[in-house]
Amino acid sequence: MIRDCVLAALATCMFLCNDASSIGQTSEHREARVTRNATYIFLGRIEKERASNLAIVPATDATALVKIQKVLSRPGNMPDFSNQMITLKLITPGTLKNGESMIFFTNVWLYGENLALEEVAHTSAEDKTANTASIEKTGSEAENVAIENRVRLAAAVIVGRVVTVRALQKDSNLRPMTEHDPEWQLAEIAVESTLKGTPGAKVSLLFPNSRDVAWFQSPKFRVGQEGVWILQEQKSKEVTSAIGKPVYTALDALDFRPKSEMQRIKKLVLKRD
Amino acid sequence: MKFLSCFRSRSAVMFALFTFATSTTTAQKVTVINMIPRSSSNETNQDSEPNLAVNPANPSQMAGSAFTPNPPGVPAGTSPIYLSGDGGTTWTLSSIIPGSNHDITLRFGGLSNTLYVSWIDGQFIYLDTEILRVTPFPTPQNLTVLQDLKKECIFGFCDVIDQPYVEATTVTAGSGSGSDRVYIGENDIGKAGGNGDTASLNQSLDAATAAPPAGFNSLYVDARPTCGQDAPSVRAAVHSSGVVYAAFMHESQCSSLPITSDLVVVRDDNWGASTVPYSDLKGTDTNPGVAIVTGISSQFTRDCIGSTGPACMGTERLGSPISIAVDPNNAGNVWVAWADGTDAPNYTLHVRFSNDKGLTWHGDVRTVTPATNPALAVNSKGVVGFLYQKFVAHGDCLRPKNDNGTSCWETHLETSSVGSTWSDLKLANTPDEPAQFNPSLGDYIHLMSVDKTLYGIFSANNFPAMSNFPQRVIYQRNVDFMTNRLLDVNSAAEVSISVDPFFFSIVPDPCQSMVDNIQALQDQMDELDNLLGDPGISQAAQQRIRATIRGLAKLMANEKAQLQQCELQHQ
Repeated sequence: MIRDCVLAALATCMFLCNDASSIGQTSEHREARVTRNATYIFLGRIEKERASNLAIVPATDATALVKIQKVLSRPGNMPDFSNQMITLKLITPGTLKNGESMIFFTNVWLYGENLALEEVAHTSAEDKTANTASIEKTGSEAENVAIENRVRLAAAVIVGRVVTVRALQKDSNLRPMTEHDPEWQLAEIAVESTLKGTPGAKVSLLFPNSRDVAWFQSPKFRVGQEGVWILQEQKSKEVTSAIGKPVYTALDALDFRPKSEMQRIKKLVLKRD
Repeated sequence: MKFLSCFRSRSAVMFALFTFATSTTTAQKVTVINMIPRSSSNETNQDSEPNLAVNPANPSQMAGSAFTPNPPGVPAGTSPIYLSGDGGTTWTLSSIIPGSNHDITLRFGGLSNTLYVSWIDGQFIYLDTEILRVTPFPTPQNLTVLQDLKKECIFGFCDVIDQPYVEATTVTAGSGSGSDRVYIGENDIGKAGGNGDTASLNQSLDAATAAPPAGFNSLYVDARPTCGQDAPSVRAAVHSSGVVYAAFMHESQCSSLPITSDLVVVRDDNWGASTVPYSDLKGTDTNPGVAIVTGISSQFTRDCIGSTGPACMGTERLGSPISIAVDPNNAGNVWVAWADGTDAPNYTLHVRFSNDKGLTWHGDVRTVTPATNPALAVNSKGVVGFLYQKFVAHGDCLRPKNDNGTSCWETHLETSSVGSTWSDLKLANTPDEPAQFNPSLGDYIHLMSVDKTLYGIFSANNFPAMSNFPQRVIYQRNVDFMTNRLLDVNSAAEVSISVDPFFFSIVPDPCQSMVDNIQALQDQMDELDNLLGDPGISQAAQQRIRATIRGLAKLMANEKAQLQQCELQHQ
């Protein structure tokens, strides 16, 4: 939320200040661009125009070497490239000069011998709002956005405990077989509280027990396990007729959270509502 | 007596030295390159199951793939491939695959500068098999999804088009000149009806320019009833004359383990566009396809992480590895490699070839036990490359201090210009662990040729010990070889060991095996000469040693004559 306010403030500043970075664009366009979901925001200094430090990126008017002076916002799992020289693909070639420091809003473009970023927008380094410590690194923000998306797509969100787990019986002679078979198992979850949807007091959850590359990241469950589930309902007639009742899945790695995150997830559900 | 017994034991040693079916000394050098870019130094992914594409129109342009997830900060919903514009010296991750990248392979068309990628995209309960066409250089452009076949994986069985394996070329003469022909071996286990024939070639005769689906159409190539399916691996080899081979495992018994299969090769002499496609090679039963070998026993399992069992070679699961390659100078010369065995210790790679377009096949010209992931290629000089990974239960690879394992994987490249003597290069000798998912190294690796050069890719444990890479290795990611540590992007913190893809290229000397043999003979003669200088050797023993040296000298003369002939032939 703080980050959104800061970005909005920056957008407003750019709109009012007629920043040279957006020559040729409408004011609405400038604002839309800068508030777009730029994943990597940093204070950087142009070290060399028309340059590149990736062998696969030819140096053109649209590329420049930029030294990252201070990272203001980055995805939580992204390394800190502070003090490193990166290649920046400029949104408007020819408008920045050697030695200029700017706050750059970027997205990741390439991982090579050096990092390459794609500019979404930039603003003056003198912007005090951007330089304050009030910009939070987006580690938890990014994950919240991702979980929020999962919640938005979910048919139900529950807090509960796994009561039983069984493998779905399959005819051992049933062919064909593949190494990517998910090896479905069915977990019955006793619901302690419902944060979204109306799944009932007990939920049947299909999960892939396979550790094949296609399924290894999907959460696996065992009897006694407690937590928060973000559930998708499977509406396949074949499934519901075989199981005899509604069936859910939680296939994304974010779809199962420890019970300690219940309040956090509850806030996200309420935020969506 | 003391001296005789001493010489007897030395005789035993000398006898062992005399056997040199495969030489281990070589003057060829190749550098192996770890493909993880420096800016990805923090990564600890299991980048297994690699594949490689080299642009025949510009061999400095290459693309690679593996089970590499998107690096941090890249928008979700895409996956990366590796790109190099400088012949494999530097590699960059570029996230151009729309979706997740399971079972991904890629190949350039012959002259079109167009890259074709096929992969399985896992989207919740669906496993979609897709084909992408892209011009990756100078920057990726013209991205077009040519085909996206959605398959459900929720219940009953997993209806997936498995293990898509791409081959491609450009027609250079005759009808269709200039068009890209693309052949993707697939195992369509969801195919309804038929006789359980799931091996297919999904092919296009004009892949570079046609609008989606660019003519891609699956042709089922197993004409004989199966036990319910064919094995996952279906591989194609394309000759510039329009001869297309495909190899697959026809499963005849699959209701219990081990599975029983026949290795079958089919052929089409007209780009797969014959009136009855892939029927130009017939077996004794007059059905299309020749069974090179029947009754192959193989195991099957999905999980070898922390598991043992007959279908696990360390952490690597066993499957149906096949490779097929055709001589670019002669469409009638075709090579195949496959694996069989009822358990891991007996799992054997075989190499065979045919001189008559697949009608008859010579016996094994090479076997390796226990090993997996065979990959074959033939270069423009007729040199055959055989890349594979050999399992050593108690190996001598260096490993991290906290790793108590003993097993190692040796990655070998063998080359031969005659198919009978092979020159061996050990590219890597790396620890078996760790494994986050299956397969730990991959269900395949890849070897290919452009003109004289062989290009290859394999995945291996990335513990940074130079001695684990006998031919030398270059790491792009930050590393300290003195302290055997991977380092993060700031060269500050240590990074955990994992599995990385490795690239190499070599112009093999077609006469290398003879050079190796001459060197081995010389080494033995030198050893015997040293023995003669030992005052403890009896007169009788000295006479025997001298006779042995004379015998070796004759062998040396013979090898030198063969070398001379070989060099004249390949001038």
